[in-house]
Amino acid sequence: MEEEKTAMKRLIRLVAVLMLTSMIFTACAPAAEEPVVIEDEWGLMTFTPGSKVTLGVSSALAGAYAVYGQDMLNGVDLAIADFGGTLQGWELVSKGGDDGCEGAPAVTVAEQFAADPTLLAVIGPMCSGSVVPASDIYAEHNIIMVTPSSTAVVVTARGYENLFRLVANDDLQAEVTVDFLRKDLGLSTLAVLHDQSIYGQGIAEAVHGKFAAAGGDVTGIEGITRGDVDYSAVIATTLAGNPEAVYYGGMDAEGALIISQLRSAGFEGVFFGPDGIKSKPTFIDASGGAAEGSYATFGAVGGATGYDEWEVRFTELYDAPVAYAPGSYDSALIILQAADAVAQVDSDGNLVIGRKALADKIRATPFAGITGALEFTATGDLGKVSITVFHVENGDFVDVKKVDFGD
Amino acid sequence: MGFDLSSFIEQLLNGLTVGSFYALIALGYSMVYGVLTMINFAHGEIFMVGAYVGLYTINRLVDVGLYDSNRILAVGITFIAGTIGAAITGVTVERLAYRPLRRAARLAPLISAIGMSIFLQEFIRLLPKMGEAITGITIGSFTLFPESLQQGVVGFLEDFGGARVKTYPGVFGVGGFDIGDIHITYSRVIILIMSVLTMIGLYFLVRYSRFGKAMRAVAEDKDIASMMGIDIDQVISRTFLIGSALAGIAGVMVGMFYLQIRPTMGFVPGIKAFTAAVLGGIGNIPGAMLGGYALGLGEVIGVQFLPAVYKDIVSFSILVLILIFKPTGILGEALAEKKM
Repeated sequence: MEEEKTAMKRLIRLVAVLMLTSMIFTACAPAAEEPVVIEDEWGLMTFTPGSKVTLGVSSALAGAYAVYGQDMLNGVDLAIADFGGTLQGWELVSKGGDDGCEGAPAVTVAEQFAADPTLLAVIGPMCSGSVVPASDIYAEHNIIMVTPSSTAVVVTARGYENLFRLVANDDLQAEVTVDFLRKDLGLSTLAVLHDQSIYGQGIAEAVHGKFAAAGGDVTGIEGITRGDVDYSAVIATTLAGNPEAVYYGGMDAEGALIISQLRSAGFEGVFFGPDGIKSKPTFIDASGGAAEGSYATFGAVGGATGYDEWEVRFTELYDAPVAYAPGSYDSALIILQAADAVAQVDSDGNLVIGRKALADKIRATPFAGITGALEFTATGDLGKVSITVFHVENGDFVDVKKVDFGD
Repeated sequence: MGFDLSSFIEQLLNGLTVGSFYALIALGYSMVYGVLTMINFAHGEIFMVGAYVGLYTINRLVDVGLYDSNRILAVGITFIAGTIGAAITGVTVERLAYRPLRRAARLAPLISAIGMSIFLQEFIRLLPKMGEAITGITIGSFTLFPESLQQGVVGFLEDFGGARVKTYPGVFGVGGFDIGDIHITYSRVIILIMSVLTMIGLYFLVRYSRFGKAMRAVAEDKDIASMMGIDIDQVISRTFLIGSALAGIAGVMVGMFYLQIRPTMGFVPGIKAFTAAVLGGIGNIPGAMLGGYALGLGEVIGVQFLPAVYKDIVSFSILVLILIFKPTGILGEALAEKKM
């Protein structure tokens, strides 16, 4: 019995050693024979002949904010179609990953994307609360990500070279908001609500700080819970301070509930929100008419050459763009054009793209998109951005003021 | 902030409204616990299904014009449809997921209930996609469904469910009236009156009807009740029917008053109502009502004195404290002792 065991152990050891040596040899052999032609500091993406090239879209595809995610996916699909459907003969596809506008699922989506050998780059995540944790994963794997919508200041403040965004940050958004409230509307008291997310709380606190710094009086700041339906208790405490305006840092679904409950509580002042509430179907239409007269800021959209024609085409194919479809369209095209420029076909017929080469190309190439002339700075932010203030009139968003930043 | 009587009264009304929802949902938990000693964790989803059936109904009534010509009738039909939809769902869930496990270990139906909860949520969320997949089946070049039928089915399912938030038409608007400084919206008054009437009706049903007596007998002792000739399965089935119908009423109400509904909407109210049921003494019907209102009021009073972000901490602290110091709840003494 004992002898048998030792014999068995020896055999296992022998097999293990054999396997190891064979692995070392197979790993070394081709590398020694074949000269490496394409190199990249961050590594290479290799697409075998006949494989697909995937653009990942990380966004909310189900749940309360799904309308935004579908909008983004449609934008990317249209970009792929306009690009011709292939990248140097390799079929392009989009792949949605549902991050629910939350942190933890966005990390899961990032890990799934990272494990996909056909992945070229990622558009998204949509929400700052998703971008912050997920970008660590993307950075680790040197995956290029372009977010058309994440606005929190912190997003581009961490020195990631693989990360780009197409919108102005919340500092600028808050600046425009406060300026509009104080000067254009001449208001001096404001109450602030937020949804406790990185995005919502971030912008709410920025508005809070800037409003106070501009000589205004902030009567209160309170957090609410996403997914609740009855906010009447917090609304009553908020209105106890008699504010002339209420600012809500958060998303459309809760925004619609808050404005309708503010109105039923007798509030007649101004309601103002960030880009997260700029959705006709899920903010204006979902508020049962209460959203009329509200204001929202939104980063760079429209005004650029070709936008109107694009919007008509997009609407025919899908539905009217909600918010981030134009930005996602531009994000996808920026990635595809840069990839087209740096892609090479190696001796085995594989399409090879260097990760750092792709990032550098994106950073170095100005792009004339439908959302404007886009040019990135070293941090991944745009050099020039603009923010538009929208007013809800007759059940739709109407732009009332546009502020440009940079030059 | 000084103490302001009128805003305090407004807050009390807010608390009573929220409490009404909690109470209506809590009743289902409590009644089921009464007859089966199990927590039906899919109850929040039954509430959600009620809201979706109601939404589909009211949108069709808008289409045919009844909503505009006779709003009260349209709202009535919507409530009935939502209630029936939830009741059918509840009975089906019991038949499929709980009855086969009646003699199994106590954890089995509980796990089955959590499974049903996830299933119902995903079912409503994925309805249009499932419709697309099923009607799009092809065998070779032969399509199982003609294209027109496929579009019809998918269109119907998209109207019914899906991942997006859906919106009720604004039935009651934001109108209201003032008593002195106190602003009261009509919707809150309607919610309160409807809930209270429903609960009074339920109380009399359970107290005096033949079914109510049978239900109480089953809750007290299944074996003896069975020996007395009571059909246990039928009583349990009807208990699910009534509990689910109440959740359906709450679901349609939430849709009409807050407008937005989504597949995940049952989770938070479900957990809160469960808290309310425990608070009042689980298994006890007046206890569930009392617990619902107590929790609703507790939340708004908490927000008066603490930052609003503590709202959920308040409700769940109440749950923990009750479980530690009075696990039988406010009214549940006699029943809970027996079930230990």
